[in-house]
Amino acid sequence: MYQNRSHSNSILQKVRYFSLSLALCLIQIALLAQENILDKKISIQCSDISIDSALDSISKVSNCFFTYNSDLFKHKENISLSSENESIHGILRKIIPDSTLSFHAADRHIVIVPVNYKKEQRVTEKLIPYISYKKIKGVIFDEFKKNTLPYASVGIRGKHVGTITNQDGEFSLTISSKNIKDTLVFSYVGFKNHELPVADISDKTIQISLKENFISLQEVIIRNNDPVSIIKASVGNISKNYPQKPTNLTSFYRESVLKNKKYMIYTESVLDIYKNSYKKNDLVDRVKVFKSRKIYDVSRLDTISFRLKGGIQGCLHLDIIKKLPEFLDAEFMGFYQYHLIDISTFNNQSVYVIEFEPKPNLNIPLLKGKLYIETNNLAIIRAEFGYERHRLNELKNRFIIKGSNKTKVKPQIVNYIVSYRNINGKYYLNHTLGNLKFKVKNKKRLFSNTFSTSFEMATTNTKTENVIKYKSRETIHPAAIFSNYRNAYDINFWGDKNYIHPEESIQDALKRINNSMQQIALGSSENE
Amino acid sequence: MTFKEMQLKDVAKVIERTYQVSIKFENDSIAMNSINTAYDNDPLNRVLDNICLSYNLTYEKNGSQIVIKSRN
Repeated sequence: MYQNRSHSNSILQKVRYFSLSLALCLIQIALLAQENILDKKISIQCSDISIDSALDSISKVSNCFFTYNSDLFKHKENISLSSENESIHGILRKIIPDSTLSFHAADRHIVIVPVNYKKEQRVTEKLIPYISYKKIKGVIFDEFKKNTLPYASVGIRGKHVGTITNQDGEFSLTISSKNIKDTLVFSYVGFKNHELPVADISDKTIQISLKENFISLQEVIIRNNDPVSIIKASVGNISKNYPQKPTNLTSFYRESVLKNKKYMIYTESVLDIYKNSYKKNDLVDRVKVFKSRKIYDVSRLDTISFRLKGGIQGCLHLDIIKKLPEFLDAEFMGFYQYHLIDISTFNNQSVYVIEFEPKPNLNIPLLKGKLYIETNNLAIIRAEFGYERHRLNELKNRFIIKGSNKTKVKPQIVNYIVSYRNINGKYYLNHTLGNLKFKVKNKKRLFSNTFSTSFEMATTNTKTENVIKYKSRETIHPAAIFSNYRNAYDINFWGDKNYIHPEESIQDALKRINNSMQQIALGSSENE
Repeated sequence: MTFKEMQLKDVAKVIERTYQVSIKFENDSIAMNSINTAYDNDPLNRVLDNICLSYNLTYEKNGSQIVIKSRN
């Protein structure tokens, strides 16, 4: 009896246990089904539609909801899709192959997440025991490899590391192993961004071709097409778009003086800059020379009897957001004519291209040029400007100091470029460039000589935390004219590879060093 | 509710009315990001989680006061 009961009890227990575990299983299955909407299999057909509408269709078929940055797919090409009983995740990967985007599921919701920002990655970052560096070189072309793209921007997305291409579209960049999970982004005005995960770069030399970005005007909602009010609004937005705290920039600076198209002086240097915030004040930025070298052709040096203005101060003055030039200053805007000439793109954002020129018959020569302003947040991202050639002579004293009365100087070209780079929503000084060309005639000689100087500065690293304000004795005065500023020649400047024998003729030396704006990896990208 | 190419500040206005909360953004550049998203009687946390995930943001909730800020 007892035995029997116990037996039946145990059976009962077993049954109970079984049904319990069955229930558990069912719950688990239900949970799984609920958790992985991405694994749900659906069938979907569509042809020649935008990624946005494709996502809409998936959402309708599978009864799920998408959340994502609506700018992500704005300028992407249309797609076609044909899937029989395929998982949503598989379908999404087909239409969004960009490996920097991942899909996060939570019950019926799918969020498209930029992968860089995933928390797990920070952990693996810390597991890397030491930091190594990878040096890459490359050339940026247009789609058909016809032209190289000068001054294109090269940078690690969301990180304060980057550079620009030189006049021949070439660049080199040193990437720390800390950035191995990041993505290198190449941008150029009017072209689509090209993205390349750092981990995928196996060659030391890479060729990038960017596709032109033709956007139809219907795609851009022009809320405002009065250029003057666009500019006024973007000046009003400066405090939102540009850093309000001082930053430390590491910049590559180079300056050359050419006489009749031959290099006379060539200076390269890495600068540490204490950059004041973009708040309204007049504090001078502080510049410290980290490393520098100068190559000059002794046979030509004696012929220079004047000094050209430019240099580091010139570069810092080109930071038009810091020191608003007349064409951005409401007080002087009446002297200019502004035209909205185009809507282009940069860094996958649409930008207004505004042309400005001084009104005719003004007493003083004023700058003319182009401004590039993002349509979305009205950040000024780029400006190209210069003086009209026929007015240049009135300005020669601005560009030349220490002139000799034996010579007559006539400016030919004065052009400037400045650009800013968006890092996590703030715009930092990226690149400034000045090109000046003069005709110089010695009164005793028959022929005139052409001198040109170009000075440029590219930011290679930006530090926004623990910013150091350099002591004034460490710094050089920004007004120092670099061409006359003597630094000891450092043969180990760029390491073994770029060793340059001082005896080599300047042209040969320049061929070797001119291959790009080089970057020295200083510290690392501290700011994530 | 479905939002198409709406700036976060405008989405926030709808959320404020729907869930009786007040939403602030750490800075205007966050508020000007635009988003596609949709909900169907979802809890407030789900809405905020999704928006924040898609833009690398985070939020702090203090009673009915919500502040959305960048994740740094």
